[in-house]
Amino acid sequence: MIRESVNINVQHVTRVEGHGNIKVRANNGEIEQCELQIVESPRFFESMLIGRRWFDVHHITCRICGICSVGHTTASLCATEAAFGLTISKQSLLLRDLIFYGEQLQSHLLHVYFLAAPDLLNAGSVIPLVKTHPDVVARALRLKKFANFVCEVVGGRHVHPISLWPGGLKHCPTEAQLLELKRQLEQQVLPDMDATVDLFAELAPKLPGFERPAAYMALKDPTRYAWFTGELVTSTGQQVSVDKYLDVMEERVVRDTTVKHVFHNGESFYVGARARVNTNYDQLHPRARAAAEKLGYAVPNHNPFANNAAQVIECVHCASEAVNAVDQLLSMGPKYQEPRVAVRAGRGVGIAEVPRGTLVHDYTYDENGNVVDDNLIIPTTMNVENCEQDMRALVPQMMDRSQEEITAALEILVRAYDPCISCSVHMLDVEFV
Amino acid sequence: MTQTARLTVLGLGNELMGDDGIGVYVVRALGEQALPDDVELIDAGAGGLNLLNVIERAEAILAIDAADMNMLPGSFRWVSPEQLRDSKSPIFSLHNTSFVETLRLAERFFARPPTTIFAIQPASVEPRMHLSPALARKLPALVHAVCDSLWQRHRAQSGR
Repeated sequence: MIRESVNINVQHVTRVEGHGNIKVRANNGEIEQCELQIVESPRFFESMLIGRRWFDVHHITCRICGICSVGHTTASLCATEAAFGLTISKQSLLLRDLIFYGEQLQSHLLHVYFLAAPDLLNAGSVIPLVKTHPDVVARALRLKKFANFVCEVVGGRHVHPISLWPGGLKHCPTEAQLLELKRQLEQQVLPDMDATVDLFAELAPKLPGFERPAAYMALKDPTRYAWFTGELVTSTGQQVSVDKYLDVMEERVVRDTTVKHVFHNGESFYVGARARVNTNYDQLHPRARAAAEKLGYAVPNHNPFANNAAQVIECVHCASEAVNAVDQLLSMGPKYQEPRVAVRAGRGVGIAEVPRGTLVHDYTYDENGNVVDDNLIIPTTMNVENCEQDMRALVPQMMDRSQEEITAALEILVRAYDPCISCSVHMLDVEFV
Repeated sequence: MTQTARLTVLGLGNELMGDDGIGVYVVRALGEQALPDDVELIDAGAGGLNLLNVIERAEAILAIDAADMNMLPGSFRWVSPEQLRDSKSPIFSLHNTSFVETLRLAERFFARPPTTIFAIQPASVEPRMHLSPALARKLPALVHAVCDSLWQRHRAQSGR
């Protein structure tokens, strides 16, 4: 039987980062309402940066989010360095690569193991997996522990790194720490990543076979798989330097609210792991390309549900490249280098490919190094319009299913985008008995 | 000599969200106090699930966090994990996961170390980089209360 109407109202998609409400209403096969409601947050943080000194800015932005601390810090440093015309040393670049890989691994692994795997293994959450798939949970925790260790060794502590600084780093790991990273990478992480690829290769056929070609964009660097270097490249054939990001994206208020979505040439687009793998496939580490083949992942990929596979591919890439970065650091003999900063007035844009996608930090400093203007655009704001378009396309294809099945599919779709609300608070709720 | 368990003190919250960051403010202020040597301070911020590893390797935990308890702003209670209501917001979200979700996972994944929560009633939680006047006034008393308990614990553990 084909349904004539659907009325879905999910108040907070479980297992999504932060709050997201899904609203879908369809009548006589016509979609009347289709919204992914997400609190838009960066506005608050933009105003907090005004008047701040250059050496405080990255410490403030790193607090925007506990999961993307390194990403926000990196974009922030790139913006400040561009404004002041600073370059960083080879050693600093390698250390920033390393901590970036650590955060990418941490976030992607949590996402694929804690959020996506339970869907594919027909478990309500990761909790039942502790009993049914103890080896999977143990591996997830082992990998996560390593990712955390990388952030600690390079960042100077467990959460919210403090060592990253404009012009370089305020801390240098010891040779012994780097050797320990290398040992863990080779003996434990790479084998665990192989097992992760095998698991998701097994689960991949369970992903809904839905496709909707759409525009996408990511950083591209001719010399490497781009994370925070290079230029912004779109699937529609545009390429701009990072300071010209507004040439390829436009923020627009939607639905008579204050909520802003981001558009590319008037259309929706997506960013994130799938967009990056589509854009930079040839620059993936050979191990990661092998993983893509095993996962049956061909580029360009047009299935939004496959973002989870792209995350696994990027994890393999990050773990493999981390070995290279550690080897290079060891051969250089890591030594502390004091970051040198000369302040000047001007604008600088930093773009980082954080786990969820392209993150823009755009600052203007006065001659004393105080922020006078800034603009932040987070990947979720870019993805939300595209996710809604996917929902619009998916629902009519599912009108022969129950409302519960449609709801479940929409939730998995939203989770695949891994949306994030950075201003959500998390106070404790205490029950007195 | 008695072997004393090391206490890991976690300062929780987002300091960009006003009083939500009270745990971070308290831990930072504790860093300027004379503390027993069996205490480790961690500015855990909005660490969420990243804190699993910190919890796993801790011997005992004192978590300092904001909690809505319908009390006067700045009032505090010592609370056990069992008294924490499971989060109403999405379960197992990764971003800014509440401490209770991380704690529940820790309970399933490994033997969670003994945990106490120092819960503080906030006045206002909103995007702001400083505490409300009410909590700013109470901060020294909150730091004093925690500091006092750390020394009491130390004396009890070392049998003096």
